[in-house]
Amino acid sequence: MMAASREHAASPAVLGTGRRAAATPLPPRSALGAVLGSDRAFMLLATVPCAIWLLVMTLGPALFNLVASLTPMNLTRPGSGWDFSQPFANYLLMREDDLFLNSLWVQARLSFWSVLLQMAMGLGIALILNIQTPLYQRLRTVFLVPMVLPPIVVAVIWKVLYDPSTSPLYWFMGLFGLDDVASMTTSADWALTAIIIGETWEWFPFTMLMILAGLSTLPEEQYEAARIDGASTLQITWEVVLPHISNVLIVAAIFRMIDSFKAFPLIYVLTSGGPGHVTDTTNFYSYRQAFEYSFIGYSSAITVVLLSITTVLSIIALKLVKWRRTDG
Amino acid sequence: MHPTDSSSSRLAPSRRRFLTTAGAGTAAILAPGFLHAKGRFDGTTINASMFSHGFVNLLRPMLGQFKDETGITVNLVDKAFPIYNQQTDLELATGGTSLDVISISFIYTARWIGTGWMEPLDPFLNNAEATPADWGRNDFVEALQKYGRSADGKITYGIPWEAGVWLMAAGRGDLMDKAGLANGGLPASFDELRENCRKLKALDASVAPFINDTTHHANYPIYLQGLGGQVFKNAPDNLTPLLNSPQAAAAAEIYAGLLRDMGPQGVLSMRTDQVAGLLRGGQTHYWHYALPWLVNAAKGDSAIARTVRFGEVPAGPSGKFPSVVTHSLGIPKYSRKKGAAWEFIRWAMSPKVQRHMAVEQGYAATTRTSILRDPAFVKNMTINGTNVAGLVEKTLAGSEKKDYMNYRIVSVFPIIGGHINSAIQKIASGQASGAEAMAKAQSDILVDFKKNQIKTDA
Repeated sequence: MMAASREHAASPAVLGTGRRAAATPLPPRSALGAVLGSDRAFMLLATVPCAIWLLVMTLGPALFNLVASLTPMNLTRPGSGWDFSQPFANYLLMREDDLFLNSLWVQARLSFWSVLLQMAMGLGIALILNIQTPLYQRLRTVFLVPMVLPPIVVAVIWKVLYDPSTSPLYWFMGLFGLDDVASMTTSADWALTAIIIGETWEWFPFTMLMILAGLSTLPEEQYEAARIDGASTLQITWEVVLPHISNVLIVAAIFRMIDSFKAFPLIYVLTSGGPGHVTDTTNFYSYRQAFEYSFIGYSSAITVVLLSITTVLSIIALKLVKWRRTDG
Repeated sequence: MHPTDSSSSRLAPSRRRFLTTAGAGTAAILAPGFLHAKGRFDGTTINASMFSHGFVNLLRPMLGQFKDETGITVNLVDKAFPIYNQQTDLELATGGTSLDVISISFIYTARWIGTGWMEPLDPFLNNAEATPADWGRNDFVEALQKYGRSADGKITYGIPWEAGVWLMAAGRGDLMDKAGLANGGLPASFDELRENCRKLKALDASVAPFINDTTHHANYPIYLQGLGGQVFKNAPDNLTPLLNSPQAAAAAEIYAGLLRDMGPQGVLSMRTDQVAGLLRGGQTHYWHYALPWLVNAAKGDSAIARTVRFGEVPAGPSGKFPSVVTHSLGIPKYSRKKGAAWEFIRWAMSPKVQRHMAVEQGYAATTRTSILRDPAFVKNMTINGTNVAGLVEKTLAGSEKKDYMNYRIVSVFPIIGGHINSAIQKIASGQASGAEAMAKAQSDILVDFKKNQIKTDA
């Protein structure tokens, strides 16, 4: 039956030449014809061009980035993009580039604190909103607002809030005689915190949404059983709810961590990496190297390092999820 | 007939006559010399890109007039300065053909012209049909025009449209008089500036004595050169940075100290328009910056319109070194409509259009000598008794004589500028001393120079 079906699928009738084909006997099949006539080969023929196209579109720029990182490519120096005489020069130079090393440290702190705060806020608010009341149901939508705003709008909102000459917060503090409160974005002690606050506000709804989805899959029976056993609300949360959504938490944290490496509009609008280099994250440093100084090759090398770090962290996190599943 | 109808009927022809006369006058101002282009370029559309500036705002409404005269439609796009520079840099570097006219940013002069990305304008300038003799090629201030030429000064690539001359505005003359400051509050030296700031702060702490935006790389050199320091050993021939010198550290302490101790909260992240807003609102005293910003902040319904005073920037022991920058209109090498592009530049920078902008519409940063000395312009630019046009001419003459702005037009200046900005921020935010911050800037610059394979003595 299967063979017949294959014969039919490959027959000229199916390809639109049925009348003539029906009148003439089928010629004997060549080996190539047999291969091309199979379902598997047909499927491959149909999908391989799309797969190649997708590969080119997704891996092409990454590959170009990798190749560019092996050159001293500089837009002001024609031919520098083809100079492979010192393929690892950019990577070797990174070791003595204090600003790059500083950017890694800034990036690590920004990622750690913003992801931690987003997870904590997302979890806390999701647990509250999971209580089934009409008010909380409506509030879910309100809490999504920061996430759906265009990132540049979020940056402008925080720019206004942090700027002493325009901020309603500073105006309010001024009413109580607090005129000398330092501007957060220009203070070396507070600038990174200012970015972390903005980043957390923008993205906690994402973790909240994921956790809410996880909570909705928790069977009611497990709550019931815990309550019958006399567990308190805190115990239920700790012993029943959190273990159930732990994988969701890990996945949400991975997503947010990867995204935190891409933080850009807030830094660009609020601090431009300053004061000094206090908020100069690796991503922003890479941007400056490429677009302000034209060091395309060096900037590409930085992004390769950044990509490697993100990939390694993601693999570790995914292994963790897998390990928890098999362990559980 | 109702009496009012009668009066309005008497007024109507008069108003019509006025509008007709005004329209004809404007046309007469703008038209001669350009009519020949009509037909040659009819139906042509060119793309012009500049950074956001009052010049663009004044030019844009006149583009219809230009189209009527030449048949050329101009898509004039403006963007914020850093965005403009990045996009244009990328467009030029990649040989893009989408732009026909651009503004050659001062700090990118060597890079865009020196790399061969701009079209020489001499074939147009030397062609009597493309450029009539009365266009006044030599009318542009030489101190500005020279930055639109090749390094050897032989080929012209840009026509200067902004005289970005650094002056000092002292916004609250009323408080300066109250504080008993000498010379009307306009400081002659760095020490006097600091002393005046201290007195003004003591008098009224709600008005910030000193302010500036984030372009420290344009303001810090005033102090650096004033103390006898240099950015480079000998720009453009020897680009060894000298930011670890004692003068560089001392200058950074003075300038960053003024921002830290005398600036308003958040001064380190203030954009130019924010600073202008504070000066305009009378919330700050001293701002040394490019002329058009200062004049605009003092005019119209400005709170400081009657109290502002203008002077030169203060001097250090080695003299006075006000920044002088200019941006020029030029044609990218890969433009496919160079003829029409030149037609636009010639029209925009013509004596009549420029005079119209400067005298009728108040554009302060004119680049033509004849307009700088025009009595009507001088009258416009006399603010609270000070002939600001005269100050501009004096500053331009000084810059031409001393020739101290070369540090700013080398191709690596964007790198230097970025590190100067960071160093000043570090000092002003208390992260480092002047010596530490400038020494770090020096070493960071050398690392960046390695990436760019720039040879230095270090």
